[in-house]
Amino acid sequence: MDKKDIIAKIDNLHIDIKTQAGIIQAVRGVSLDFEAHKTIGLIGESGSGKSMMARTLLGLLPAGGAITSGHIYYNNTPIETYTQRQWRNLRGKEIAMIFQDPMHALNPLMTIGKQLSEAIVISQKVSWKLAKIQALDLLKKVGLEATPERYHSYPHQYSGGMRQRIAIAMALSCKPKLLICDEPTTALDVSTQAQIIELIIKLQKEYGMAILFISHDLSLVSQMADEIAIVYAGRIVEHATTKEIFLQPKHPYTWALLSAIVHFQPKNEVLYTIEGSPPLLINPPKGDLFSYRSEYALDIDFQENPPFFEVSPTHRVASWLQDPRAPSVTMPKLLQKQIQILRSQQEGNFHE
Amino acid sequence: MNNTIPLLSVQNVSLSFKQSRHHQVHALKNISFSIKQGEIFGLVGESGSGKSTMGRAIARLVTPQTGSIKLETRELLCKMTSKERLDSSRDIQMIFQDPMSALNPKWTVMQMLLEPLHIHQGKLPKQEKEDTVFTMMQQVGLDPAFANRYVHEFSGGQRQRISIARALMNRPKLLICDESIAALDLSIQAQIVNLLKSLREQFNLSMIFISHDLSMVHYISDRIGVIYKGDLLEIADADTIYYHPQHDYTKSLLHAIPKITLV
Repeated sequence: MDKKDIIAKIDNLHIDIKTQAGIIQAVRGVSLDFEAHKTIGLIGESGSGKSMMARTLLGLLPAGGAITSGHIYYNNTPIETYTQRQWRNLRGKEIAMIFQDPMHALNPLMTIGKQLSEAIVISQKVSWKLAKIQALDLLKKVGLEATPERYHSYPHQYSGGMRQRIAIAMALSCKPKLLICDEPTTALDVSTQAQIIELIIKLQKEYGMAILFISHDLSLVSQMADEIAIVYAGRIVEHATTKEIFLQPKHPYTWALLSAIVHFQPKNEVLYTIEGSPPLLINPPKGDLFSYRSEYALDIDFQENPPFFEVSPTHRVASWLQDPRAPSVTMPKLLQKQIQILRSQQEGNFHE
Repeated sequence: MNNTIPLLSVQNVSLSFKQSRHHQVHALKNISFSIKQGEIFGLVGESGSGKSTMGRAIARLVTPQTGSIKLETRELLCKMTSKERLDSSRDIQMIFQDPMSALNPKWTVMQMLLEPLHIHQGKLPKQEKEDTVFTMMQQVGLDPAFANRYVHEFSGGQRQRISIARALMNRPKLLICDESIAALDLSIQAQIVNLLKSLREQFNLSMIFISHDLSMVHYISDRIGVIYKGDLLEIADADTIYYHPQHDYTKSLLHAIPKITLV
């Protein structure tokens, strides 16, 4: 492969949010590269800072939030110091976002067609007439009927899945280079979810944008992501290709997440759960924060933050277990079995 | 002979909502099924399929036009005296998707958990009532020291534990869980499901578990019913539905579950 087509880059980003209770260190040193045609899945529990990272990419930090160190590059220019006007040129046109709840993302008092066309008129500076043609075209692309009735109806007249399709159409109206999907299917039911995922994959092939896909569902992300980054307490703990995450997971937290996939659980046994809850990020203690919930914790985990260890060129892990001096540990039995099943399934596919 | 009477039997229940003078939505069409003592019955279907309406009809939050719903031998779909209504509401309890809107934000946990006791066991001395609350909090995995806190001070999983505790205060016979874990994180979902399973054993509780997540429903239920547009398409053992589905719609639901796909 020749030179990578890197669209955006997050480099050692730290975000603090001031609240009444104290300063929350929401993001604590995250680096990610976004490449055209590639999807990165961001996985983490609620409160792990994954949505905060996404919002920062759009300059949508909450009140009291600030970048304390690190940079965001877009086309090799740092964007975190942009003025509002510069942000406006970037937001929506170059970087677009799909939110969890489409009902909150759409204006209930405006027709679908008007909302879609408005985005096109403002960003591409075309006439309303032309925008309408483009908008109808977009509706067809996301799998809705492109009829005048559809164009002139309001968000409440659509079902949840259709609304999410409209939100996607809106995000795509300016042909963004980077699309951020913040749990786009969490509010939808399973069959609609499958359709929306299929649609996003299809549109990525057509437009070739980079996608950041945020979710807490590992099996869902496996369907579309090229790489997966596992986030815990504001840091990336493991980052690798989808295959490596599922077949050679290294971090105890990744093990825990993988073990929690219900599909592989024996029916008459107690479901696997991760004990405890994620730490508060106001004055977090030293060291690897997952060690407080992990049975694999070493002494050094409580004193010093682990650096990234490279397992392969595409696989990095922040865990002291990868240090040559660390004792060797094996992953839980159930997970080993699960990986074996996945391996054999894969070989089966390979032979076909 | 008592064993042969099902705990709940639903027979030919139909329900339609009037949309306008000429338009009706048939939410439930001639549905029949029964639940044994101590059984967990899963109801799956997509949104708008009528699965929640079924649960609400059993809890008598909506009234079906025809059919009969019997709890043991007691008919629920007829005119009841207020005493009978009180009894049936004690025996059937429901927990919902969003605990934040199901719980009272202005009450402490203690107040909320005491209320069911005031209604059904009003004569109990105060001290005894409070003791019951503390034991119940322990049983659902909440620290009794939190009894004087308010809902907003708890996390999502803990809130759902509070609403489970409130539903179980008067030892109901049937618990209806309407998408009770859909709004929670994956690992918290597992905690709540484990809790429900262990409570079933402790209280010999029967449950109706309503969800669109077939893999979770398969894990928790003994039998599963699949609802589509108000029709009950298929009822079978959880394993039969999950591994050998008969109906095309069940197959498509199973197909939609996100599976790990490695390219």
